[in-house]
Amino acid sequence: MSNATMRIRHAGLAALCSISLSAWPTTGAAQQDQHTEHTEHATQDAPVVHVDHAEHGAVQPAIPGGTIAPLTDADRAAAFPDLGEAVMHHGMLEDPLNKLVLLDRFETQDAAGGDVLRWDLDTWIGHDLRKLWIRTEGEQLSGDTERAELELLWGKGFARWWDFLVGARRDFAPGDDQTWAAAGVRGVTPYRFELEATTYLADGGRAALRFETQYDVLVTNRLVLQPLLELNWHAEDDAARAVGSGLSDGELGLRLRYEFRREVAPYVGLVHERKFGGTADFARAAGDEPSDTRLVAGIRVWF
Amino acid sequence: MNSRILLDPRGRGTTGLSRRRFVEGLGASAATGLLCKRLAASQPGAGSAADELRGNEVELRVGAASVSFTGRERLATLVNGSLPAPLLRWREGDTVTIRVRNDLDEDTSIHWHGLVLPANMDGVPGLSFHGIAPGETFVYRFSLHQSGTYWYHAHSGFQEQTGLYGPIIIEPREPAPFGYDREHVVLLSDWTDRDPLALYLLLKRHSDYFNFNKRTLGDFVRDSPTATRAEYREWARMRMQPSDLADVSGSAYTYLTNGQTPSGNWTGLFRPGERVRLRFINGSSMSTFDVRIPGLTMTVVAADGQNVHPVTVEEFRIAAAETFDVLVSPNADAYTIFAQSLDRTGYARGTLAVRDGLAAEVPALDRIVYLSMADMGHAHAATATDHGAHSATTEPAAAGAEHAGHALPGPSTVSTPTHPPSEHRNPGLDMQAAAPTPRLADPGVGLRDNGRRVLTYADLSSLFADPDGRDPARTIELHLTGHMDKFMWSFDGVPFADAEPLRLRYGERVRLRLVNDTMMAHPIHLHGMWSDLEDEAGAYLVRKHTVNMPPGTQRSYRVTADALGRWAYHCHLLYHMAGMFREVRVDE
Repeated sequence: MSNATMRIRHAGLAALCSISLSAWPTTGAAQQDQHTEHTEHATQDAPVVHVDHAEHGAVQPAIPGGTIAPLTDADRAAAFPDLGEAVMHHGMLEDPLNKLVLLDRFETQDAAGGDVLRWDLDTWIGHDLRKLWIRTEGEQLSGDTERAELELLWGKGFARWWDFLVGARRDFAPGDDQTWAAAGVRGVTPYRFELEATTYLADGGRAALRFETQYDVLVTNRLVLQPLLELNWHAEDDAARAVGSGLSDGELGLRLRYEFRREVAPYVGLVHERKFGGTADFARAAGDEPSDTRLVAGIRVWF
Repeated sequence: MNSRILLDPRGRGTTGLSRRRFVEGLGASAATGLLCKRLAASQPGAGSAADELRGNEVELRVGAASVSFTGRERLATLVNGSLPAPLLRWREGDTVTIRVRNDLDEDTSIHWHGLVLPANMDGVPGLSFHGIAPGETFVYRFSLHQSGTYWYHAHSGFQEQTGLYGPIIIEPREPAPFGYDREHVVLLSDWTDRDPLALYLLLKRHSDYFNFNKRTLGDFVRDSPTATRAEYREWARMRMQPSDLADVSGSAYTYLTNGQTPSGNWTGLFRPGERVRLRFINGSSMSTFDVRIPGLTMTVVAADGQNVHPVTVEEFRIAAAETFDVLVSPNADAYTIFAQSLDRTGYARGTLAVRDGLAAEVPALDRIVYLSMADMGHAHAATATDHGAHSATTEPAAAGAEHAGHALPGPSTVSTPTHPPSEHRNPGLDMQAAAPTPRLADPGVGLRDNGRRVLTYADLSSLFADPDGRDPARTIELHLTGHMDKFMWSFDGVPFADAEPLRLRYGERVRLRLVNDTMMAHPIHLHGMWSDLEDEAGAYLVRKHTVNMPPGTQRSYRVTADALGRWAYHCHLLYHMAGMFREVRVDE
């Protein structure tokens, strides 16, 4: 701000003062003049400013500072009390142990072959940038477990919006149990797409890749439309589990949830599932349709 | 007028008014031997602060008791059975002795906010003393070298959130440079029924939990002009919410005036024709308030306890821990003191009236105004704002451009900040401001062009010249940093636990330049020493103890290191404080 505008501002204040404060002491205006004078000096001539201050100190004895008091031993003792091993923590940890249990999807699907119960649970325990993840997802068809898997992962925040995850995945169905080593990322892309991408490696050089992204469209601040895309890719055929190599299957979902509380949101939706390539061939061979569009209803819960 | 909750052994029946809240749980330890006295109904002419402790020997007992602000009983942290804690009225130049007994089952502490005193009296556990253990009594003793409106609060855990805060008035030895007939303390605060630790953990899981003002699909369709869409796109690209004005909103908070809910309607009395001094204190944990009294102009005469050249306004914004003293001249029967939260999700309310039981109209909450890219210090996106009606003086980007065009004599305090290396590739940051400017004359988001004369920092000018007068010999630049989604907060990307102290030499004059690299406003408080705010040209403006830092700003102030010891320096938002905190160490 230039000196000119400063003067104008102070003149304005002086006017306000005289208008609004009839009881303002008579020294008020004089002080303001001094102050204005001071600010003029302030940007031009530092030594003069210093003298100026001394005068002001006399006007306002109540104001502390201005001179630095010589220190006494009593001052020193008061300044640095012996606190032993005590450390500053103000009883509030910056990064306390925290946890989240998110049942992202727990739903019934009106599938071609009967009712499907589908779950997808994400849980973590840990700190801001270091978390232990437990994830499980799977589905049952008419009471039989068609697919079930459990992952245990160590996650580390490595970039502003991204965590790196490494760990293991155990499949319990379909087929015999199998174990994968897992590594991936999860985070939020620009434009707020939530994204998870994980690669899996198992015995015999088998490899798989899973990609999942979802987005929240706020119809209102409680009614949320959530498109979701999930894709799975496998490196090799696995006839025992009816999986072909390449892009194997995918899901395109649209779920509309209502957050009665943030933590509790029932939803309805429409899900299109499709098998591709060799996986689709396996399905056809078993007499199943390689694609299916289903109505779903479920609940999303976290705590 | 019963302005506080009192621990009254006889309970409900004695307080009379059914909607008033009581402290009902009489923790055996808290109930006995309390200093608490019955509140006398305040009479016109009797001053406002019924629960007031005068004199140089004060006994305070910190205890837990059950309170109910919302109909649900919750444990609160009270002083002498009162929420807020009793008003302490002292006299400049005196030496006061305060015996604080801890009746809690956890450590406590009391910090005297804004008072200049020896470090071992400052009340920060682990930094200046051990804290006060359960059952222990700690004796504070210090001399008062200042006058004005201040406050005190806990510096332990979340006890400030649960009620441990109260006003301090230090009467000047010389008469105040303005006259008034009567005064009232107006202490604004926020109360939540939630357990504060659980709330903190919740914010770290879902930082947007309390934000029900996000822009929706409908807003997007309605706000069809392309400029607005560009702004939507920019916010989405940044993965942020322009409605993110407060971490904790009215969905969790009940806002209090002197411990009364809005329906409780705290009332301060006056006689028509009187000039009334209102001492506003924001004792809230997380809330910024925009304060006005419809029908009255307010003449601001002090900020953070220090006298300023009077400036008459219709509204002011008060950040957590700030205080403003205003003079009003009411003539009608009743006026509403209306303090709406920055995010427009609730309000604290009180009444100035000629007698008890009156009320004036309570205004509707203003509509929420979303943050713009210019608010965020991203000047390049200024064209995308929807604040097209701004005058040049309040448009942040324009103000910055104006500044850049100046060839200022003397040292400018404004410079293009260099982000410290510790911010580089730091997962604890979600943004860095591109072109932060001081914006001292900016009323701030939600207050621009609202038809009211709104106080800004540029309006504040101390009634005294720079008390030190030396130019700062060096500048220390600190960036306010954080990650909204992860709810991590720090300075320079380094949280307190990992940071070295800021070291000052006794007697030196330094400039602290703060740069806000977050999307939130942070009120920054330095213990033990004053923060002498500078204007854009580096000239002394006003003496404060808490400097509010809106997003997208850089502001600087001078500090005279005239207080030996280890001092706390931190954001005064309670849930930011653990990380956004530094020790400032003044050595010989």
